[in-house]
Amino acid sequence: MSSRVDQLHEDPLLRAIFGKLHIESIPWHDPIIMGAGAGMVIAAVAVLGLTTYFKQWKYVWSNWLTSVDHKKIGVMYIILALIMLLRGFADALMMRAQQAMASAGGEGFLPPDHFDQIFTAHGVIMIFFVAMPFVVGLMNVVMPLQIGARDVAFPYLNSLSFWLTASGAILINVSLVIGEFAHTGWLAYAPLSGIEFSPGVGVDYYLWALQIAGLGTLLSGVNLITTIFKMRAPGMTLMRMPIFTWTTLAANMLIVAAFPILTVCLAMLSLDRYLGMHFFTNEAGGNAMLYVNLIWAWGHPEVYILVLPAFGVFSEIVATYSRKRLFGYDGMVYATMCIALLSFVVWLHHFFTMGAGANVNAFFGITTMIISIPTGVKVFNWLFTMYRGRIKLDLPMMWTLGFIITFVIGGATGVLMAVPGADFVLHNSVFLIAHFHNVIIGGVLFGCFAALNYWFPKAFGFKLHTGLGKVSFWCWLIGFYVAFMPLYALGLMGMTRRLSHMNDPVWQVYLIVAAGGALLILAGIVANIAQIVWSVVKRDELRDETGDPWDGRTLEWATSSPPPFYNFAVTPAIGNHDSFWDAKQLGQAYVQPETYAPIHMPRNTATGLLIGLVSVPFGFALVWHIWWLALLGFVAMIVIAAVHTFNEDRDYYVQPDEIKAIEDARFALLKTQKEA
Amino acid sequence: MKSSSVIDPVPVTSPASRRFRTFATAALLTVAALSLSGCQMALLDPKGPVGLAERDLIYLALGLMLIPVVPVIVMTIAFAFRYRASNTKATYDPNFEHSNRIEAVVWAIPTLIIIALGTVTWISTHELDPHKKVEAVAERNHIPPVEVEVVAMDWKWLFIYPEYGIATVNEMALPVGTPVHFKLTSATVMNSFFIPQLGSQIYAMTGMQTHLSLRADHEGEYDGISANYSGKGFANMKFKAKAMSDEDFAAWVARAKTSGATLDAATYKTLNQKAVAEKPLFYAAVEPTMFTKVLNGCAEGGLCKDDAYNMALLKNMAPNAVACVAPETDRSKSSKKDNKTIALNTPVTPEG
Repeated sequence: MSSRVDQLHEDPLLRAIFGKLHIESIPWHDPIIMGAGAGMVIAAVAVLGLTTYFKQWKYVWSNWLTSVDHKKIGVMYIILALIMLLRGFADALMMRAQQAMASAGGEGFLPPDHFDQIFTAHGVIMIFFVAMPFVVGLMNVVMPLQIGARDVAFPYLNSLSFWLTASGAILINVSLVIGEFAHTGWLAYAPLSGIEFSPGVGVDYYLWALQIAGLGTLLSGVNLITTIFKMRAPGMTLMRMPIFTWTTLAANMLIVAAFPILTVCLAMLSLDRYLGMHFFTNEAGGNAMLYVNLIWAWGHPEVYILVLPAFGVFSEIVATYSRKRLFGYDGMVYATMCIALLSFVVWLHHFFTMGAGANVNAFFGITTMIISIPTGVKVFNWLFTMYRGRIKLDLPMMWTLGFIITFVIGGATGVLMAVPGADFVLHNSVFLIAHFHNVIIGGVLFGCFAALNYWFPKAFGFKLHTGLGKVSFWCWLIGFYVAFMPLYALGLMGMTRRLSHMNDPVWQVYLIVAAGGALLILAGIVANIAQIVWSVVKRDELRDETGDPWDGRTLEWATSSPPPFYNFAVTPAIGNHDSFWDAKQLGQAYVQPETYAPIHMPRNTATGLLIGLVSVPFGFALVWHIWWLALLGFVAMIVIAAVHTFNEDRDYYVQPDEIKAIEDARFALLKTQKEA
Repeated sequence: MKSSSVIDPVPVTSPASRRFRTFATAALLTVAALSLSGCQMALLDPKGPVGLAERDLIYLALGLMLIPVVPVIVMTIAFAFRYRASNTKATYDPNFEHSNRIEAVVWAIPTLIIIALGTVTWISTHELDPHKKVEAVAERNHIPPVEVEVVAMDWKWLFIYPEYGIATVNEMALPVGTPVHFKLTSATVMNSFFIPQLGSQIYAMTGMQTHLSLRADHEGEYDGISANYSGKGFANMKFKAKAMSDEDFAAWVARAKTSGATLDAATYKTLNQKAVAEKPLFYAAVEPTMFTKVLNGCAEGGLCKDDAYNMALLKNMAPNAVACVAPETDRSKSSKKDNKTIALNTPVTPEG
């Protein structure tokens, strides 16, 4: 594959126009890649075609693409995450199939070159384009509602953030068909990712996709922190914020502190690759260890950027479904902030085996273990929230129970590997793979699915189907154990990660079982999709007109489902972190005010969408050294942003009579609900 | 097939008992398979003191972690069952949100466990520090340790035995009971040198030297791998570590001596091509400074980094000095750290 991307045009004019891009850059003869590419093109054409056929362009344009509504943007983030989950999981299936087939001396169906791209793409896609957009999407949908805000602090910036993330995802998918993706592993360790060992365009796709998406994430972090600090409803002091808002705050602080490290690290690698510099090669005093330190100085906080919001989700759910106040709210807050802080002083545990001295290794091992103290407190607090509760075993609660049991196992193996002496034999083994899937699937992904089932009726006004949801849950839970417990065992047998083939019949048995587990998870994903589709079909039966289907405790349940575009007609006053629950207890919920004041709202803008769209050819041009297009794209993005600054018509006031009409309808509906 | 003996040859009478027998056989087969695979858990079946200490550490840390993990799992299931909505007999206390006693306990339990594990970590990390030299077994104290210089290449392992003047590729030998001190570097990207059954792995990195010390206490042929992904041929970057008696080791060295090949700049350059080594290679002789040269990026010829550094230093100290040209053989005699006796193998002008 790499030979194809090395081909250069001999004609200088063609080289100037097309850079390194060549007709042979597309792997025409690889049936897997061409099939996947054709599938992607057909799906895209089908979506565009159906939108045109049903004459929905105006709706899509004004309600979604150019929307600055945090709820719409959040939903688009989650749709992006679900689409990319399919791509990332297809990679996982191919890996499990390859290792099951090629573990007893066979060759399997993937040559090492292709296998290496697949495990790289799997990691990059799952972290950057599934977990991240899912979590950021949840924070976008839920957090402003929880604090009683009308939107985020910078609505246009929010739209820009989303479209930059989407552009990064598009660039990753383009790499599947045009050229190649990196075959370096998901963190692209130098010097393997340097120009000497990776001369193709794969690493360049990696760099620009992550830079573009990473910029979006960073901007989103600034946005959400500002929103939490400046836009809380009156009376909501920091210690009265719902716990999900707290974890959102912690995660976004981590984003703002950690993502610049990623940006700089990738920029330095780009300088090495494009301008012949030597930050990470041995020439001129460069050092590859610097790359590994920098990438993990971002990479470890990243783990907590993902898992802290998931912790927040579970905290909300466990209180709601136990019909009880969250146990140890203050402890939860301190534990969250402790974890956030500590997550910056543990990065070296990813490479104890680099040869640092015993003092350094022991220090980072112990700081890593210390994180398990606040994490343990969280687990106990969830348990004592259930204690003396009235637990309703709905889908979100099932995901939560599955999470607690699975996560403590992952936590235990994590602490085990925090002991440098144990890590000296477990490092880079499939034991490690099992561990981090244990916490990322069991923690982050279970949290995302719990949240999806929990907040879906808030976003769309109808619940998700329970039966299919249960099928999905059990397939995921059992599938996870079947897929990853064999990997723990294989790790103890000395199997290292990223092997495209091996020769050990005993290992093959375990790898076949693991592949079976992956198929179970596939069934879980199919059930997820079926659950969403079936719920849309049966939406009238599943409709919730109260806005509060689960007898919720926090503010997002006080408004209608889906909430009006302004969220709250009157900004609520807050006395407690369970403010809506208290209001219901005191009979103060659902009281319609006599009059309404005008509401200040942002106008839609296409600027974010346009900049995002232009960033795709911009990134593509940089990947293929098409300098004129890169320059053009860069200038175009600056011009679009500059033109936007002259747009004075960015906001408007919703008039009281319009608000009154919407609210009257809502309260009329509530009244019929109560009577029924 | 350990389990063949458990299959009962007596004819079966009823279908029920046949079903039971099939079930029992299957269960026994599973147990046999599991116990069989237990022996193949390389990390739990170590063959030297480092691996043994690390296995015990894994058991200890896992045991400590089970102290909170098992109760949490039990409590999760018990609470979810006991306080289920349909069980109206259970206490319901919707405002129970705080208890100093419980909170003190939930902070104290993990803290105490981490204090214990942290202490274990501090001690064991120093005990198992890869820089620390492993001792010989008591009765072999008089025998000096074996020095091995390891170079990770695309995609093979080069072992240099400086005391014996031999080099091998993808096969190394070590005498049982004698520690082996490794010095490691890489001619290519990062790799991790790992013999799972002997314990600790360590990165091999270009331009840098890492250390590791291992000992095999049982004869045997152990798998060696690279445990850090290094590109296309990574899956084939394997070697064998053969632990043998002193006599066998001497014979192994002697056999390498008869291979006739020499590892010099030219053969090194050929060896360093991006390729997998299909079978082990042996070199009867090796340039004494080969490892230092790999470390300094000049094993294939050219200016060594340490020399370039010293030249720059020299130019700083005496801008008008004229550097001398030294013959290649002088390199080995000159001390690397002594700036006063620099031998340069490339002429430079003061203007540089």
